[in-house]
Amino acid sequence: MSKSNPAVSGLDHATRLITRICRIAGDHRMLDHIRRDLARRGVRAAVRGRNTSALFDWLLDTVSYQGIGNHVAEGYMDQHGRVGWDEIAALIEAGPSCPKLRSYWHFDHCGYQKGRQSCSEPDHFPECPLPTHDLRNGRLNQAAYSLFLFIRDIADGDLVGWLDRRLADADFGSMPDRAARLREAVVEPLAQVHGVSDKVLSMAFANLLLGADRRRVLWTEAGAVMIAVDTLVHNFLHRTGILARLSAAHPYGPACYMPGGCAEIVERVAGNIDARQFNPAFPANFPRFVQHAIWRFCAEYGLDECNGRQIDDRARCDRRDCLVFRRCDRVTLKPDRSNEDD
Amino acid sequence: MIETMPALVVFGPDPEGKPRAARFADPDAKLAVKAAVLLGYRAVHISDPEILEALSDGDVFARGNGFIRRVSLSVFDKLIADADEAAAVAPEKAGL
Repeated sequence: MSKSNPAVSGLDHATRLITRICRIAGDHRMLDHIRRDLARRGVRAAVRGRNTSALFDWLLDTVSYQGIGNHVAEGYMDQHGRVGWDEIAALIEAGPSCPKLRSYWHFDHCGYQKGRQSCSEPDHFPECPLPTHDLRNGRLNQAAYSLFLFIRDIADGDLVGWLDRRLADADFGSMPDRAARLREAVVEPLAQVHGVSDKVLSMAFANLLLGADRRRVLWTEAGAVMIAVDTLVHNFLHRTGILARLSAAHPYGPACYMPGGCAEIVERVAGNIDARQFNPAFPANFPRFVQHAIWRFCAEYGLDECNGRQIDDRARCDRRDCLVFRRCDRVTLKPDRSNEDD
Repeated sequence: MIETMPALVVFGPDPEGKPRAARFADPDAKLAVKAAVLLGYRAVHISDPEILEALSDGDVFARGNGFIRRVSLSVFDKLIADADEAAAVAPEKAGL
């Protein structure tokens, strides 16, 4: 490797720093923890029994946490209730008049707004089933129906069978982009469901595929390469200088999942880290573990090291007690205070 | 002369009356026919290379207008002429 190539030296720097992060903050029993959590929530049994209804309910629960703190989302759902597969199925079965509810492909630009009690088909609004569920915002109502219609129309009501088929069709042997193909086989179609972000999708399906059934080898392989980029992960890559060294500066958001964005950087770095050094049961290439280690290092509910509460982002980080202080470039996150909070 | 393999083409006017069409590869054909039937589009196998080249790939996972793209009237007219000679794809083949 040539040190004169800034991209290569940038990748070396990122690999050294993130390997250290994996040692400090990596959940070395990550697979056990995911499996235990999925078993507790009935997801493993649902996969074994191909119970789409139970899987939908779990997925929707996970989607409901997007864009807000976990305790707030949970508190709202406890107080106002949840919506499940059986309830939506019955309401759709009743044949609502809105043309957008005819199929997954019809359900576009629904425009339901909870606050305004309005939508893009006002003539059908009084009879529409969407507003009957008191979810946190109208986007979640749309996400629930869009996901329901996706599973009914695209997956023929069998999410487990659809995942099996999608991954089998993308399994072309050992090609250089094998991991990306497996991931995209699942993520690309589901990313078109209304109101479900790439981050939440990757997070939910990473756990489902990694932990639901260890006999489904392709599931484990695909789940291992699904990366969820939130503001903590993005800002870590910024503050540590990894984005700058790789000439990959970008604002937090959809760009994180575009070529050269945070997800691709974490995937490239993970390709240089053999995760079996942390647990021999891990796959060698385990970007999800690497991303989770970064998140855990930063998060208030993790090691609480690299976040906006610990660091005054108007200036260079001066936390000398940080375990990676000497390896970090300590790039100021928002000298003009125009960037997003984490 | 190399013969073009027939490809599944879905086409029709959208709810605003604008012409739309796209071709679909074999792995997506069943789902494409299912969506076409539900959305009121026609699904046929076309082998005219000129028409096939003028069409973009459809997206069976896209909702609304993302499923098949807008096409010019000239391509649409050629497609209708070709499609009238071709056999429509039976919805039962799409599992409907």
